[in-house]
Amino acid sequence: MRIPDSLLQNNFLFHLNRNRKNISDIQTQLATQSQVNKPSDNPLGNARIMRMQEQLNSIYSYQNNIKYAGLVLDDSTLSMQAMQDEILKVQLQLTQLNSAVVDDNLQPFADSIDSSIAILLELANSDFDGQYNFGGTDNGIKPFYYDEANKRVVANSSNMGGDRLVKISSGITQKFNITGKELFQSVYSQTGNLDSNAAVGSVQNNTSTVYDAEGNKYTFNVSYTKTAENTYALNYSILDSNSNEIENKTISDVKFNAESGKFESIDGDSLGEIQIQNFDNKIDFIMDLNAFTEKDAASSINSKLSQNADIFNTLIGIREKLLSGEKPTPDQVDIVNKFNKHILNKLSMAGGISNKLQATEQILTHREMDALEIISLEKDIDFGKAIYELETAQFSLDASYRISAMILPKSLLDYL
Amino acid sequence: MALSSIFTIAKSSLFAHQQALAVTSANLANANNPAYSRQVALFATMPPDHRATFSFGTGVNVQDVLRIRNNVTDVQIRANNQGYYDANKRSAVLSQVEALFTEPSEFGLSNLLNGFFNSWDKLAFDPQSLSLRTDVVQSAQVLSEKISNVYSGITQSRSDTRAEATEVTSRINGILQQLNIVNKQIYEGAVVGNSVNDLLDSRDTMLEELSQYVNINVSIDENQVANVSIGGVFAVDSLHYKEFKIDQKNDKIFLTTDGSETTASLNGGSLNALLKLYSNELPEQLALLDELSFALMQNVNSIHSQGFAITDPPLTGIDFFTNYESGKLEINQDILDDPSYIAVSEDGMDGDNTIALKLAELKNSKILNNRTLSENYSKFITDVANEIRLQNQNMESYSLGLVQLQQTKLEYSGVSTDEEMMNVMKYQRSYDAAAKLINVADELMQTLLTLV
Repeated sequence: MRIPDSLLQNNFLFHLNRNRKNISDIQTQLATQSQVNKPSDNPLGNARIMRMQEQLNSIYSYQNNIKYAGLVLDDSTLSMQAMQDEILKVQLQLTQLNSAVVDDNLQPFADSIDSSIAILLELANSDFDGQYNFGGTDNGIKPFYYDEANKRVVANSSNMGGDRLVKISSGITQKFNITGKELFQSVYSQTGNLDSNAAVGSVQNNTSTVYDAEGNKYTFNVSYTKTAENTYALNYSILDSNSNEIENKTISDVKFNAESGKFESIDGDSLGEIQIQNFDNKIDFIMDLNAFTEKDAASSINSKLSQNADIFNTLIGIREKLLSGEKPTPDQVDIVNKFNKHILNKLSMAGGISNKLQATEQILTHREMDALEIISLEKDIDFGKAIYELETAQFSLDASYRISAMILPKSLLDYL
Repeated sequence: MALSSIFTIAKSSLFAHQQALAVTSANLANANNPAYSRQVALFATMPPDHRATFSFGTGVNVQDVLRIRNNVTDVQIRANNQGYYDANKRSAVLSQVEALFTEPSEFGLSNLLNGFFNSWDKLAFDPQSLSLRTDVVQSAQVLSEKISNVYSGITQSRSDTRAEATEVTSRINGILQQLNIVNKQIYEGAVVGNSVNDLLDSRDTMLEELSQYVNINVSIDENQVANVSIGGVFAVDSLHYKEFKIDQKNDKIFLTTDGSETTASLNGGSLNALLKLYSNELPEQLALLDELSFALMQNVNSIHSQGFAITDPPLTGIDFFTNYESGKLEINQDILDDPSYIAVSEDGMDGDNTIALKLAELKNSKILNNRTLSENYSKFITDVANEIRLQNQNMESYSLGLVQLQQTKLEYSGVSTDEEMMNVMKYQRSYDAAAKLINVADELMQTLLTLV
């Protein structure tokens, strides 16, 4: 085998370059502390890093959402606890009213109830970070105000029942507010279904009971007249205990989705709520059609009332009675007692949401750790290994330099 | 046999070894010339002097100066060159493109796409917040700028490959012209029996360089003339050569002959890589970026336009992005001027965040090729990275092959100073011996003359 000079030189140069490339690669890894500095360093590893980084970003976003939602919920819970304390005070006052010694002096009780109304109203309008806790999705304005002229508390918000939703995990959104509608308002939920096979012009009816702020019963008649496919005219009337009609109104355009049968709109509005008010009789409730459907089955119309009457106007009614020297009726006291249970239910609901948020946060923390570990496995260098490899490569390079320095300059000429 | 014949024999030896020393000197002088093939003086005995019963030798001469070259290795080097330079060029250009994406980092398109969707998630929490709305706008701007940068970077790379293809073609034409001249000189030298070793070295060097650019087929005829075709199209012989040019049709570029417009079928060399990058790979990457950006725009708009802005009165039907064309993802100017135009609410209520939540959830929706936008992008990047890795591996493999072949070539054709110095000493000794022989013959002649 012939070994010309240039073969020796090229061979040394080739291996020197390989050694230097090795050293350069290891030095880059040590300097960046990363094995993957560009996708082609490890295409699969890079894809995994990108996926895990995306997951991490989402996790951080969800964690932030949970943290903020928890704060909003905590503030709402504090307000509700304060409300419950106030209702307990009212209940105590109402119990004391039954005592014989107070028969002639009802003014202090009226003042106390008035103070409680003001506190409850203040709490109902509590806000966190500029958003009203019980304002639903219309939370930029105070949900309730006191109408001095008509002596009643009026809902100021147009969508107090709107759920505030937050993403807490991929594809999972969680409600994190207690709405003013579910907490304070009397909601008449229409449930069941209309018969989609009914002929145009046919009428489907439902009769149930509603209450005024003093707890008096009224008959509430609702009828749905089919006007076209999936479309009905809604008529409601309220009759007092003497069967006198005190309210009668028709809404012409209630629509259901042709495919799913779910409620779609009232006069083009998808909110699904009808505010029914008769101030003369202190009747104020919301008729909610959102759970009502139309389906291919016999008509089955049901209803459910969340609270017989709203707490504010019930308390105002009690105050007015006390001011006029009368004691509250048992029905009024019953509404107050039921509100206490109602608020407990809502506190429990808030606690449930809070627990879910905390449980999700724990899961997210585990997922965060997993994602960080995978990124670390793919990306981080093993310092010990890298330094050992650098030393080895440096040694090889030094050895190559020494050998080439010894051999390359030599030829037969040196010995002639 | 006459005494004077000793002078003749000694003279032939002097001349032959002087010539051999000249060949060795040329070898030593070209020891570091990579294009040079070592040469060897081929000694031959001169015709003998036949007598009645004996034959006497008449001396030595240099019959030929041989060029030591292994043609099989040359063919293999040219074949490896085509593969190596093809992979090398692809790797270099694709690495430039890869760098544009700045992955994996916080400035990568992946992270910015995520940031855009996460900004909607943040806005969902406080739909009225102007600062969060501004954050959405800024995230969209950064994303749009990144898409634009990547797009224009790839477009620039594509334009550069076109320019480089033209330069390489110009160099190919230069080589073909020189090859034609050298072929002619080789033919003329061969016909009259002159040594054309240096011309052959020059020819082989040019062929080796040509094989770096394109796949060539070389056949050497009996006069050592190289007949070369490029991608199946005649390129050069001793009589003619063709000029090549870069032709463009349907946004693709080809190597064609100037005049007859015959297209070369390339499958190797750096020019092949440039043509394929310009015509196929880079446009495919731009198309994927277009597809991704278009899907983003359409899906964001289809959700956003259903929502209500917090303008007075609340406007609906607003597109978030107004247009996408050639890497320019344009954000609605109204939104840029006033983030109140961002639609977050589905029903017009201030606190409703349905649209923002839907837009944030778009991140996880399989809206393109049954994959999420991130998955599409990830596949895109992984494909580019795999291609670079493949080309780097090819390059490494061809490189190792080339090193082996170059060593074989050097083993065969390279100049060894040790060997040449041995030859110098050998020829010097023989020269000394021949000179001594003349002395001896002279003394014999003197002895003879003193007898007279």
